[in-house]
Amino acid sequence: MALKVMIVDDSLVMRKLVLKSLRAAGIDIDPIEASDGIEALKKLDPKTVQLIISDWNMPRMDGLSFVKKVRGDKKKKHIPIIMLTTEGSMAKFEEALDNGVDDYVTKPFTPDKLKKKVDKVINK
Amino acid sequence: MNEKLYQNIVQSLIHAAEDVFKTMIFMEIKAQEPFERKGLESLSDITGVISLTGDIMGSVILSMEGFSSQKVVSSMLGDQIENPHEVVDGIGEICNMVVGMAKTEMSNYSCDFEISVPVMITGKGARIQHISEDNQGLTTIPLVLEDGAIVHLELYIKDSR
Repeated sequence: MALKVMIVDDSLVMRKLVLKSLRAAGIDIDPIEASDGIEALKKLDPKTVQLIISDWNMPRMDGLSFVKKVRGDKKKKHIPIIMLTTEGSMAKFEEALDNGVDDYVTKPFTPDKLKKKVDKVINK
Repeated sequence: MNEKLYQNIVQSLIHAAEDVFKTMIFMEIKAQEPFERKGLESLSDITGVISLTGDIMGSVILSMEGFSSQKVVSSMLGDQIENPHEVVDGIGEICNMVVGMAKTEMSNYSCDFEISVPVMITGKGARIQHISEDNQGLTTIPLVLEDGAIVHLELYIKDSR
């Protein structure tokens, strides 16, 4: 059965790239897309979505604010979240984990790198 | 600005561009000798500008011709991309990845700064206003793609510490 993944990124190209990378790594995906945190919160169905992959820097509501909203909602807080960002400093990594992110992928990434993170968080 | 810090920033941008093109676009690039230029005009059709604020402040610019941009974004997605909006969006993401990686490398030199989302400009010769009114010290790093096309990576930075 396909993995229901929500991909949140303001860039259409990056959403396509994440989807293509997951498929290239052999993961069967049923995607749902959103271009920022506000749209993602509206579309997020906790009964069906099994994983969220979210960008950090986005307009309107950034990735970290979105994560805080998800973790603060008892119906949604169980969903694993991977943060995808260009910034790979330890401080950013710790900030993400402290706010409820399960794991963190820095861009640029390969399909294998992304798959390892996905496998890790969904098998937690 | 301290010359060593400046060279570290230039090198971190080159490393980042090489890595992004190799990992995400499956293309090798070769950096040519950086040079200084004065002027406010974008050098190619599609330009992404990212602002830096923190220990250093200024701008990083990535500029590419339309045909090359389409080729690069198509290679990144593994699909022929015809939509101009997607091409511009893709160049913005490449710009974002290059500057984000360089930022991470610079944190190893205790140089920390925040980066903006990319502002995209289309049209060669568009006027870009940087911090300096006369754009003194704008450094251009030509990056040569496998087909000979040139990507212009430029920076104008000041030490704000």
